[in-house]
Amino acid sequence: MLPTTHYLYFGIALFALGLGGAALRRSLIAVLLSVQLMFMAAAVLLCAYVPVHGAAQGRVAALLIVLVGFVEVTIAAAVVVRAIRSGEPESSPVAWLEDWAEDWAARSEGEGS
Amino acid sequence: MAFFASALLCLGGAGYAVTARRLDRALAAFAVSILAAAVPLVQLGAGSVAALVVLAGAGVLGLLAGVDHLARATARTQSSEADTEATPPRARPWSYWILAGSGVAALIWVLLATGSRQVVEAPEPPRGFAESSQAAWLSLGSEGAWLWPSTVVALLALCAVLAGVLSMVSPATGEGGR
Repeated sequence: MLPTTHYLYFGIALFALGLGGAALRRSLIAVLLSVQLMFMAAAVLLCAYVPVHGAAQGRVAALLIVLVGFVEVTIAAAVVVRAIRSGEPESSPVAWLEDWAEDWAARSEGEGS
Repeated sequence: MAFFASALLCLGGAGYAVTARRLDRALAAFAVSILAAAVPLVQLGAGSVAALVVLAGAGVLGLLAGVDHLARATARTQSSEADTEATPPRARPWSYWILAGSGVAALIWVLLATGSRQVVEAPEPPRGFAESSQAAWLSLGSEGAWLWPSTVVALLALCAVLAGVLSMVSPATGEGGR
């Protein structure tokens, strides 16, 4: 079996990717995917330390974390669907899903004109 | 070797999913990342966690693809400026009542189990463990006995959340619904 540090580095890299995506992107889809990556990294780390401590609670915690991540995405999707149906986005619902660059450019053009 | 290959694939897919502009490519890369992340989990002996990760990833992909489809369809409708007649109110779907009932049943189950002290009673902590870190002891009983009940309760809680989501997606109704 590989040493725990391998899984530790893998989890840290995965978490860093997710954190960077959640912090730097404004696209709703990208942010939700990034949050999922962070949840996945936490699950990997919990499972990696189960053999070290010899306790199976880590796997149960990993199961719950993955479940919580799925629930979080489900709630976010429901909120977006509700907002789209109620006509909350003033310009276009697709603007919620596009990246910040296009959104910022569109807003700048709207403010300029 | 399998770990390094899967880790490389997972990190590469995750990086592309985070940075990709096109949604379909981002979702495809995320799917690859999820499948690759299951390999280290299986190597760690956490097959159930790997299976749940894959299932949850599939659910997330379906949800996000559905949201994108709905948003683009709504945008097309807005752009064509078609006259939209007010849709008649609909009753909540039967799946809502099944999920909501499961969630309420889970709540009642947990309350009854806690009230009758079936959950809180557990054997004494091991001696050495109690001396080293007393605060970390979590009395959960023998291994395996609590795994499936806790997972079932978590899944029923998920049913309750999904019912709440359905109540948001299918808004209020007129006659025949609440």
